[in-house]
Amino acid sequence: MQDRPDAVELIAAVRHFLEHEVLPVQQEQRGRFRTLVAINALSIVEREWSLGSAPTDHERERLQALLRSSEHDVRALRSELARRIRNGEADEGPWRHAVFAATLASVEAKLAIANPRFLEGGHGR
Amino acid sequence: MSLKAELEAYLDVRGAKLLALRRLAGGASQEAWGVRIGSNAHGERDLVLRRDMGGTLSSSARTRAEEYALLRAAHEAGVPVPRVLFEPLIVEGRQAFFMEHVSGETIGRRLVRDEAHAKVREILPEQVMRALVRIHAIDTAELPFLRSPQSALDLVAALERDLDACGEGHPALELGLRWLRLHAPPLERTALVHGDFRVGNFIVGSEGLRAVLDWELAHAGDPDEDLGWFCVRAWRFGRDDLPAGGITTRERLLELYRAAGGHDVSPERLRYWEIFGNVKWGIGALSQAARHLRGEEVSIELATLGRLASEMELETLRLLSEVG
Repeated sequence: MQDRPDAVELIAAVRHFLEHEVLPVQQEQRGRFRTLVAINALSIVEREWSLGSAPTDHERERLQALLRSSEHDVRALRSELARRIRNGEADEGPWRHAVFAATLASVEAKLAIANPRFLEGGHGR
Repeated sequence: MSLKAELEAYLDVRGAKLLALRRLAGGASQEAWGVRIGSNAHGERDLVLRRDMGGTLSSSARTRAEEYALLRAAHEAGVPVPRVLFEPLIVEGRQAFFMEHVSGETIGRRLVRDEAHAKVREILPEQVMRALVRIHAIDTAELPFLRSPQSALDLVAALERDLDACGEGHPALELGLRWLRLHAPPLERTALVHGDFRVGNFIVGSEGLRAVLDWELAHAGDPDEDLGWFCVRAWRFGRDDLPAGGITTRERLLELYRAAGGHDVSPERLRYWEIFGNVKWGIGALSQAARHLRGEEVSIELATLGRLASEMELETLRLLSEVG
């Protein structure tokens, strides 16, 4: 167990530094843009670490049920689902609806971290 | 020799002096440099040097020498583009060319939102459709480096390969690819497809469209691809009330394309290529992030594109739910 600041608090401090000390002195358009991209990247990390393992755990449960699989690795589960979609197994029928719903839930969970404002219908960033 | 020294030598034999050189924000597979030159004949001029990055975005991306030929052909066809200068060159082992610097607004977010651009937004849709019709009328036989025309199905197969090369499964993009495969339209007409024709790749002044940029994805294929790409959500920069580039509606876009001399495009065809565009940009974002992850080009911009792809995944699923 580390002393505070914890990881999220440290990242927030770096983001604050970029926003308030690095960004204002960027003269060139390119440097300014890249600083904004870096700030956004740290915001993503803050949201991801704040949410912990819950989103990944939920996706694992969804995909295990969908694929009737005991595989633990979410990347392997995603790849298996991707393969079966490409093979045409989700073209129609009740399994398509289940696949669509599970996939939408996973994408929404990714966006809740990557760009929550986009999820709300806005453009974000 | 350094970039600066090589350019000085190149310009010297053409009677010009290099006065200033600075890196500009570039595209995904090329760099851009702002170059100021001086000569007795023309005085001081601002140019842009475009140069290959080294690694390419995809195997189908055009080289700079090819982009130079495309810009010349486009200019001759009456498409507003930056004029190319001299001839293509090699600097530090990479292809490059000079073109004139065209001033104006390029930032899509400002173009679709800022009050300062409200007037020009009224005329821009018609102007860009006129430019697009002219692009689609360019004879592809005069650009021999273009490979034979690719059908929607060919392009979907290429996207599947690009996605496989990223190494991770993406069920939402696979649902999009599968739908695109099952509904692929036949190649009814062939044209020069710009490949990245959208708000954000135009230079716009108070009088309207000054130049169409970024020809690096040009290929021979179905011209409807350019219209669908124009409508991809990412290129609306938040103006989702105006689905065609944040500046007009889909219906009006097709009307303007036809009024400018283009063929009839059905809303279904447009929708196909809009879904295609979202899937393509989703896979494009992952491919660029993969270049960073493989260490080919370490970049904060490329890295974060990996997390941007889920925006296109959501839009793909939304569009698929509409078409049933």
